[in-house]
Amino acid sequence: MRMDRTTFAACATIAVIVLVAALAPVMAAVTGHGATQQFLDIGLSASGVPVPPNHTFLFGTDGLGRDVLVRIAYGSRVSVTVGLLASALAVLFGALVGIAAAWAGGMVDAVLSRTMDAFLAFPFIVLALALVAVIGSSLAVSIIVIASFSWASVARVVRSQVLSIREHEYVLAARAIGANHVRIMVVTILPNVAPTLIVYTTLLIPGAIVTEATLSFLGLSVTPPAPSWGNMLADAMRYYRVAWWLVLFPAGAVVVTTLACNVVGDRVRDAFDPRRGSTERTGLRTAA
Amino acid sequence: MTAFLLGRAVWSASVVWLVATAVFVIYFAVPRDAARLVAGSRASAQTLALVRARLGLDRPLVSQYVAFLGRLRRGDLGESFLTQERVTTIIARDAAVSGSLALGGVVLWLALGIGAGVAAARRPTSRAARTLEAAALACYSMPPFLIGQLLLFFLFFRLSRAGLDLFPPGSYVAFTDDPWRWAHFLVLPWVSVALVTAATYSRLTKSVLLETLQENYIRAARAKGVSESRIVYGHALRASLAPVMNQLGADVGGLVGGLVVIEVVFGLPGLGREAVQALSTQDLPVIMGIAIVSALFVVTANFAVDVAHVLIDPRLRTN
Amino acid sequence: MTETIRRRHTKAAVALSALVALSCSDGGRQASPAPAASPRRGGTLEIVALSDVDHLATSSAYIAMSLWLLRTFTRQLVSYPPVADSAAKLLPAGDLASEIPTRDNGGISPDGRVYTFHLRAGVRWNTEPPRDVTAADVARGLKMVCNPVSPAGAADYYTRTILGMATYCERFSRVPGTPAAIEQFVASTTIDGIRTPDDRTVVFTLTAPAADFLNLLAMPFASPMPIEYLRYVPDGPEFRQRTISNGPYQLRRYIQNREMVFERNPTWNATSDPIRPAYVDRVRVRLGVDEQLQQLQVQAGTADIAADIAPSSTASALLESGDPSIWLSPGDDVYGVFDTLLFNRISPNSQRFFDRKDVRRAISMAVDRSALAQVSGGPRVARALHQAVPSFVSGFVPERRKGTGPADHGDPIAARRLLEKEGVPRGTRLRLAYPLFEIGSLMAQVLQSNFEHAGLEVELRPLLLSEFYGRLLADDDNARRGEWDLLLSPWLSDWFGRANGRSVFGPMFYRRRLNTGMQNYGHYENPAVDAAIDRALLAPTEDDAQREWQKTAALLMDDVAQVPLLERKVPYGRSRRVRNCSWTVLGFNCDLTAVWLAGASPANGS
Repeated sequence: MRMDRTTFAACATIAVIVLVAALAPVMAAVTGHGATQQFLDIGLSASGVPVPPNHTFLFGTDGLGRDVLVRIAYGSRVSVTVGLLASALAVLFGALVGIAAAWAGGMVDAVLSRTMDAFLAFPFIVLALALVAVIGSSLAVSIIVIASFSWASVARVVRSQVLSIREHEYVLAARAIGANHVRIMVVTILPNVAPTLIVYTTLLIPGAIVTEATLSFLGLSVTPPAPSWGNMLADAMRYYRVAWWLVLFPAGAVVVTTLACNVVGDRVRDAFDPRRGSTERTGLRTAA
Repeated sequence: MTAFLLGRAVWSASVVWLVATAVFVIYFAVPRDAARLVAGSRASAQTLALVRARLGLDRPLVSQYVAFLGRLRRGDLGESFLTQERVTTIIARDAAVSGSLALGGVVLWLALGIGAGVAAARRPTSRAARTLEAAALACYSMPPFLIGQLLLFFLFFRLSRAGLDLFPPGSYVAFTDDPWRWAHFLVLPWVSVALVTAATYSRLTKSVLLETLQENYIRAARAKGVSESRIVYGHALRASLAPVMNQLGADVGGLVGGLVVIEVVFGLPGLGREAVQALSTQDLPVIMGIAIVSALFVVTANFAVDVAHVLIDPRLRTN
Repeated sequence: MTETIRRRHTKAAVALSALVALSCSDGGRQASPAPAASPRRGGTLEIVALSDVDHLATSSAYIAMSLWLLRTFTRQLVSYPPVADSAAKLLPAGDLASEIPTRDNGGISPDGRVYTFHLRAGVRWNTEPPRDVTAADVARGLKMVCNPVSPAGAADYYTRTILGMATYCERFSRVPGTPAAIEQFVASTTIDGIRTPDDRTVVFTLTAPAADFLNLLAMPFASPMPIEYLRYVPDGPEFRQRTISNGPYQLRRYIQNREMVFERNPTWNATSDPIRPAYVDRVRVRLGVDEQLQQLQVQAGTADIAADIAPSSTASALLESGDPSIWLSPGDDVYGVFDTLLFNRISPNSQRFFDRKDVRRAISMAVDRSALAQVSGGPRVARALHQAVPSFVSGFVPERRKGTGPADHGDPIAARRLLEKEGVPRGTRLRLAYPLFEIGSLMAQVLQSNFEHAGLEVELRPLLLSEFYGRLLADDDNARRGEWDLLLSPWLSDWFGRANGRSVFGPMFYRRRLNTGMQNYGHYENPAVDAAIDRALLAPTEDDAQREWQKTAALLMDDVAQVPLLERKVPYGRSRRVRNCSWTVLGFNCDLTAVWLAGASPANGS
């Protein structure tokens, strides 16, 4: 697969982000500033206004005099985790349900499809706030909430894919000779569905990161003082008029990560099937 | 076909029922004291008991659920715990606002998205197309509240300070009262809604168009001398209708959630903002009412998309 | 009493004792511009607010915004005058009453238990046709404080002072909540301690002398009520569309959660109202606008007054640059809100640690109050608090400090030593719960850092307001299970003055009984304190009350009942054309009946 410059840049960006996430403690050590360390004397004015980027704080400070650069580094861990786990969970669960529904057919399919639709119709905000109210806000809850409202669209697509694959001649043939169902699924379905799953994962990751930011905006996500790009951005909304750096850096991080993931996702999809392209997502084109 | 549509209708109803039950379980099954919020934190035990009885919270859960379902069937969504106003009245009032926001937003994002997609497909390597694509992706990767706040700050606040009162937020004038002012107050919110979602459509349109433009019948048309514009707008675009509508169906589901943030940021008195306020005061009937109505909306929209699909693509009718 | 700013903006005017006002010379500059020009009548005042009123009925309205708006169309026997000077502002003046009853003029009996009020002439309800406000209306208003549908949250203010009110309320609570039943009950019963010998005289008999009785009557709970209200469900939707006014404005339009419009009341006449000048012609309130947007609008000029507290992040910067669109309430050297940490005394952790006074003392020592003040907006906005009650509550001992002293920084090392001596191991985990409000989040994180230096690991538990009050604190089992160890919460007083201890001490520290109206969430129990509170409540004069409350406060501090943190002013936003924005005792924000708009012209609406 030949890589053009954009793809290369995107992959490099992702590598950098992962590196930053891994080396966050190193950055903390080098600057001498912890992620939750409050520098009220040098990092905050007497009336609590944050300090702009300078020699000591390369990305400035936030409302508690904490180093934004170090917090972005640690925040990448949360965002990357949320992104990866939430989308992996959604994709895994969605694939399982989609395959089961399409393969089993009949009543099972009806029930599962209805559940999918219910999840798609469910007002996300209500669920998020309700869950947080019961369990309390945390990383785990955010991941569960995000996954629970993304899995259904994956399931839908996988189901329609499997439905069409099921009718292919070689599958019909395999079933005719009485081959083991599981074996059939693994051999025929998985390879066809895998590209979709991979693409979905890469596309859901940035979505998860942005959703985590929205949850933080409404007050439900990682508990302070732990930083996540989302809650840094949500906090920044209160300061943006007096502290532009609080918006620029987390927003920049989110945008850059999203762009990179989207580019990579596109390339992966193209690589697997340059002809079918976007119709993968619709699943509506019958195999004609 | 009728059977299919009927089946879908029943399906939709059961989805709404599922949602209603889920919301009920979430909110009523957890030990919480909505009565305390209504009565105030200084209320005596006696007062609390009174309020609880008045709101029906002292009855066993199952009987509350049964009563709730019964009312639902009659179309009665109950009364707000705090103001005793009928929830259906509240929702009807707010729906106009959310509906206006959704309508304008959808129209705008379709226009922006498809327009950008077409432009990108026709000249995929041009600098303009690339920048447009990058800008669209950038907007797509920003949380909606950020876009809203930035628009508000630069196009409302900064301009106002400079003397140009172009985009005042925080008000809603009904279309029936004054169409110009209705649009005036909604411009910035519409743009926010559109910017967030347009990118998906531009990419979708672009990829479908690029694909379609390779097809044999297009090449044949070109060979026959049909103008490029007619090819693009006449034939190729029609092919992208199906995937776009499918995407629209999926986005409608997310629209309800996305509107919440925009309504909060711009102070628009719609369903989303009502829901957030009801959640902060635990006004359970209002929360439930809005959850059910939004589920209904999503399900109806999906139904409409399905119907449209069937009408447009004859191949599906025999399904 | 306690409540978060969001829910219960204090309405109470706090009269800072003259002594404190004199000794604290660091008078905060009040940004209210001294009007050089004379007031102009006319114009529409545009207000933007986030939430709707909690109640529109005077019997139950309790949050600051509700009380603030009620001043436009409800009047009480006594009220606070719109003067600039804080000390004078906090002294109730005659509103419906022609003059304040005192012992000298015979309005108060020698034993301090009987208050006689004579109603002013010319005060009318805007009914068709207009009719006078009578003593019966006053009595009716107080009766409805205990109505079974929408009762007052602080009914105990009246049930504990007015003779016969406790029994009356007990009976009333058993009446079915229909308008007919309520009307029947109200018409056929009387409260022993409220007599109306004629249409213009009201005589109150108290169970014991109360130094703060006038303040209690200044609260909107004690507003008179016209007989028409008995036709409707109290505070129901029908009532809200048919309010009757005896003040300068009347509520013309009310769409719940969306809009309120007040217009001039033609039956009001200025000669019968020394409290409300009422310059603007119209007041329009747009609801559902969040605080950020409120601030933007006020600065851009598309709104005049922001109803909610300005986001502290923006407020601090604006205050620093001297921007006139931000002003601090209350004015002068009065603070309006205070923050404390409460200990959970009924949890498992309590038996292990909090029951020992030295542990509590160590925790208090670890706090860096100057840091808390800094993140809350700096010295202009917040001040360290070291006493059981803040400077605007009776019982505060005037201090002679200026600025921050060494005590304000706390001493985590000494705290650590004390904790070790008490056998509290390093790394002990404690849970700090707090409702989500902007400053609260910042303060909680500072506290977490402070306690970390003292060797304690604090887990933060922020909760949505509704969860905080509606779930966590509503059920004592949560406290017993140890779901929280420390509680961070802002507190207010319902009124200001030299006799407002009732509003704070009792609710916060009196031992919890079955009556859940207590806000002593941590179940602090100290019989000596209970006795002291009882004594202070019976003090006949303000001076006596002040002395008794001071003794109570001393007991509390000695026992380290809680950890006082800060007292704060609150920032509000207003536009360039607002003049004479004077902070109200009820509601903290600009007095709507005293503001005027620059460039306004009368009767043109605009």
